[in-house]
Amino acid sequence: MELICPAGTPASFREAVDAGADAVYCGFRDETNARNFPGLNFDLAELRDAIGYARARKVKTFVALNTFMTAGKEDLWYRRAREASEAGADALIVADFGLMAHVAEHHPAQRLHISVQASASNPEALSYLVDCFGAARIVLPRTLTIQDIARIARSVDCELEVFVFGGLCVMAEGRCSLSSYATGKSPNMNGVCSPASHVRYRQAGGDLVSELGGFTINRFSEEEPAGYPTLCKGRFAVGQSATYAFEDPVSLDVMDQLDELRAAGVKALKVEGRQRGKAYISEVVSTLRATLKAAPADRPVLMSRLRKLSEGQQTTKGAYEKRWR
Amino acid sequence: MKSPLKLTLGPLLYLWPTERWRDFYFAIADQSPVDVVVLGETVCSKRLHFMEPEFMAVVERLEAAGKEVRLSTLALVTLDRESKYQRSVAGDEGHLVEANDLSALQMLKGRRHTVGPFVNVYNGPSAKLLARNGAASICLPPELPAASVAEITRSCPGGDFDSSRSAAYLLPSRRAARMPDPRERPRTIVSSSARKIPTAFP
Repeated sequence: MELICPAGTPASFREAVDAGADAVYCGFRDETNARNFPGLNFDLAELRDAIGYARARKVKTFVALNTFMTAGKEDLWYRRAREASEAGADALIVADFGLMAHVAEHHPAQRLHISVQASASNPEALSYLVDCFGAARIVLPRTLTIQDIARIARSVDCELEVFVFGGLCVMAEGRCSLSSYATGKSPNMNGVCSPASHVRYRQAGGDLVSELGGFTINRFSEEEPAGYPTLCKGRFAVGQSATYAFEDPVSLDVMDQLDELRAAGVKALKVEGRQRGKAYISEVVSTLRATLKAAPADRPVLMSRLRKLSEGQQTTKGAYEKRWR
Repeated sequence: MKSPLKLTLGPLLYLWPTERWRDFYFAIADQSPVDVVVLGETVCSKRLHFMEPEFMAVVERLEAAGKEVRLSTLALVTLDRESKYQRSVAGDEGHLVEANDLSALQMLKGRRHTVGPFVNVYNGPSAKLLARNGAASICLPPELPAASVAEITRSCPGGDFDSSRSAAYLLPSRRAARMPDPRERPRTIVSSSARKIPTAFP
């Protein structure tokens, strides 16, 4: 199985390559991808350099163009698709139908991967994307069990990529308007979720309150480490208690299910984290590479090194092991 | 010539007991000015048994009142039984079916159907693609700015499809594969320093 690693900057890109990635994914410095945060991403020259660096070490580069094109401004996405293709990207990761059609028509030799943002969660959905656009690989939403993934793999004629480590989007990716509601900025349209521009922290007695777009998202006592107010990971009043109503603010780690994922037919393992610094990338990628090579009995010790790097210093298996159906 | 604006009632997204669900739609049939009613379960396949006993009675009452009934498909399909359910809805020959997921788009390819707000259509090229696939009408996502709505309808002149957009913001803002107890409604405290909440559309 391939290890697909994130890079938010040229420096992180080189770290990911050196630490053992099979492919690195990155985006341009604009709203054409879903990590459109200040200080991140690549201009064209940087992308060309990165692709060259990777290629010399037999590593692939995927370029994320996974937001939804703004009506009337499609030329920006079309231009970026052409630039990435001409720079030698091994695949484009796309979510928007119009852009998929454009790439299929104008860059027919360009390998097309479908982003998790397209929310293709069952065999018929994947068939639609393969039939209409010639998709070669589809990144599955983090709402499926390993059994669901195996069912899909038996029925479709394209490669499957799944997230195994990092930040977890608990909603159906590509179909959430929570950030839009609270701040006017959305992952689909602007490539941001719960953007820092709308975050405020304030003291309230001995507590630290985090706010997003004027909504209170969480409240931390002095002993608690304060988290970032991602809207779905807040604590809300439900009935009589204040609780993480949507999801606990923890990260995904299913590295102990590698054999099951392989048996299910997964081709590639994806690591989330383009907004992470190069030290994180270096440590996570090298540990995951070592884990992939290790015997099953040796994997837990390797992975425990990464626990402290997880959100909330805890991890979850997400929907991969869900018992409710 | 522009066709007159129609009012469409989207599928009920809440979990209501069977009688309440039925009575709501009877009232819509008897008293409301909506032209089109989209009926069916969009959110969760485990809720299907709530509406099944009264489904045909509701369809008949709505159609007798002159409403056009369309059938909605599930928005998030991950299980085999959900794919089968999706296929049974998509196979209905008597009503227009609203696709809310890519699996429905696959099943409805080449047949006249509509597209619901849970399929992402943010621009003209995507809308045109779906129209070529058979979409007679597309409900645009609620977060779409007015400028985008104008641009999409401008770039897709009448004859391609009708576009509609959610007017009332009583929509779920996210889809998740896991529900907190649907009877509990999380509330947030709006900060005392809150200013006007910016929205994506003016």
